[in-house]
Amino acid sequence: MSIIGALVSIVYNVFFMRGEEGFRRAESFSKLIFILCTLTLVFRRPDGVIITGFITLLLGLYYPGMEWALSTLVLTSILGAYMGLSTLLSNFLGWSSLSIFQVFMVVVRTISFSTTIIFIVAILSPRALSNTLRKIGLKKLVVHIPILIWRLFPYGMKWFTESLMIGSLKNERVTTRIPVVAAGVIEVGKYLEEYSYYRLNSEMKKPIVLVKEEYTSDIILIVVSFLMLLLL
Amino acid sequence: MQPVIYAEIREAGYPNGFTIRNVELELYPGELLVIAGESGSGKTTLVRVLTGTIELVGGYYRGKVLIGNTPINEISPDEFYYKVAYIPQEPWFALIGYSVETEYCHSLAVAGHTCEFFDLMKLGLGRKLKNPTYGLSAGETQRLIWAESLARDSSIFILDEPLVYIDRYAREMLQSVVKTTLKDGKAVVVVDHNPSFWKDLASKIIYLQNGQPIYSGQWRNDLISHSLTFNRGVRSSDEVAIRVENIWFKYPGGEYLFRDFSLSIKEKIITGLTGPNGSGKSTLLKIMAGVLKPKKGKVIGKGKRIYIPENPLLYFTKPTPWEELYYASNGDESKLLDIAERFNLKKVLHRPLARLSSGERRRVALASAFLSKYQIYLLDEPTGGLDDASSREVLEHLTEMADSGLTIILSTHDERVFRILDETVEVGGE
Repeated sequence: MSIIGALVSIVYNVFFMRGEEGFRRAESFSKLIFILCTLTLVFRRPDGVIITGFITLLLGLYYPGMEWALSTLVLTSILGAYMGLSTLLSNFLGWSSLSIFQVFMVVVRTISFSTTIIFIVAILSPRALSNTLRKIGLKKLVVHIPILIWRLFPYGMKWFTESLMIGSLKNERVTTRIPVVAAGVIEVGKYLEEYSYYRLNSEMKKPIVLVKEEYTSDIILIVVSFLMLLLL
Repeated sequence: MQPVIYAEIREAGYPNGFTIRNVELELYPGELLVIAGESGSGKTTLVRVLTGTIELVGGYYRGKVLIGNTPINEISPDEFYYKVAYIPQEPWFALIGYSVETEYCHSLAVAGHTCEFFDLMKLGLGRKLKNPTYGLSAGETQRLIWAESLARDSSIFILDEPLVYIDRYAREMLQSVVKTTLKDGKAVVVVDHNPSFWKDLASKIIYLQNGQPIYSGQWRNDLISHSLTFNRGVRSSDEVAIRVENIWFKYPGGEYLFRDFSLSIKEKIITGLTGPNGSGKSTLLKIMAGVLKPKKGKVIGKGKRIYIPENPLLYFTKPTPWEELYYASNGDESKLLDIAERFNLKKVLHRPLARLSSGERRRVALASAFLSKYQIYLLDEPTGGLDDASSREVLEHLTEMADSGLTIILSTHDERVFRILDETVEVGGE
């Protein structure tokens, strides 16, 4: 698979691999407390970002799971490597004079911070976002958008990677497949508009309430939030 | 009694393009109407008029369409969504939710209902509640939309080619659901190129030809087309084209679809992968093609392979058949014209691929792949959505290709295809 195809697969695993389960299903209130504690730790303690990166990676092993954790590490390592190399280049050009240890810490902090942010995005529930948009009085399409985004992105990614793989069977360069993918995405949009016209132009008359299954996710997030407060 | 849907269409179509004329229909509670006809006869245009979406795609209609008492252009989207369930031929484009339960509950929330999973369970999707919708098979997607429509208590069901992607088990389930739906006093409109499946349930039929109804009225058995008369495949071979050895495969976040699975496909014959919806037929094709990589195990192939997906748009590199075939023939115009003749594509050579019918797209993809001289062709549902005439053309090309020593491997639910298969592999079976 090409580098672009592999990257697309990683981004898919990081953000769209799971449905509405695990921490995504936790109460919005628990998640809010967790996010506030995480951000407080990041900004109030010098080593806070490393702690939150480690904690979110551990939590990520519970949900979304091992595949998420590995993909996240790959993605954040790419970001970390980019930041590390930029810093080295900056040193080389004389714009900064950081030691090797400090450059290493730039890499570690980038990985930790991006892991934390990715975890926060991964536990956001598009369903809860739609319910919130509805509650604050927004209308029709705007309310459906969070759910639609989570539906369309993985679909587009699947389309993209499949098209790239077919291109590689045809011995084509990645660049020749871009117009194909663009045409495909336009077609998806056209069909979606036609087939879902009435639904997308209707009000969401009730919130989407899913059956409450367990409190494990809430308990874990609250306990972890409490532990983070202790670290402050 | 008042009809639940009434249409008097003088003309409908697209500016400077195809039109349908003089179509009239009325449907009462408990009735099933079949709209039949060959590809290009106007079935899709008629469905667009009945679902009020023709103007969205740049078309127009002149005449009257009533849902209950109300003209279709005066019904609010909310009311239309509540009353009418539309299950399109490409059902995956009608999903909004990212997981089965969010999709189902979103649909009910829009209709103002509380989310209860009774209808989802009834249609056998209870165990897939948390699955992402992008991984559902077409048959499962169709059942999901059915379940939503039943739960919304829609009074009119419009189904566009509902049998294309579903297996025998799902067809039986669909037949039983439609039967119950009719008993409950709902009305059903089915668009089907092969209407015989509906003969025990249908009360009315409209048969379209070139945009005009050649018959419109009570159901008539003599309008049903007869199945194709291909002989069962007779080719045989001892040489192996593709060997799948002890593969393990799963999609990210999902469960293993194949565990330690092995299979040998012989060369120079037509092999069909059959099996229930969701059994992994398309996935296996992609693994054999190299589009998907197994977690463990290996695939050994003899010769150049190509994969043509269910949606052939993904296959193409260029925007028109001419450019695609010119590209595949390395600029040899005489080869291009030969292949266009052979695959009956001369009339559409300069039309954008996005505006071709499903059958034309499939034939262009096959012709393009054939020009590129592959030895192994892996085709996903090659006759999906095609009427008998288009299906016959595609099957004839496949038979010719196998006769000329090429290996064809295809996944299918279509019983018309079974007749040309030399060997069959039941995926999801032993």
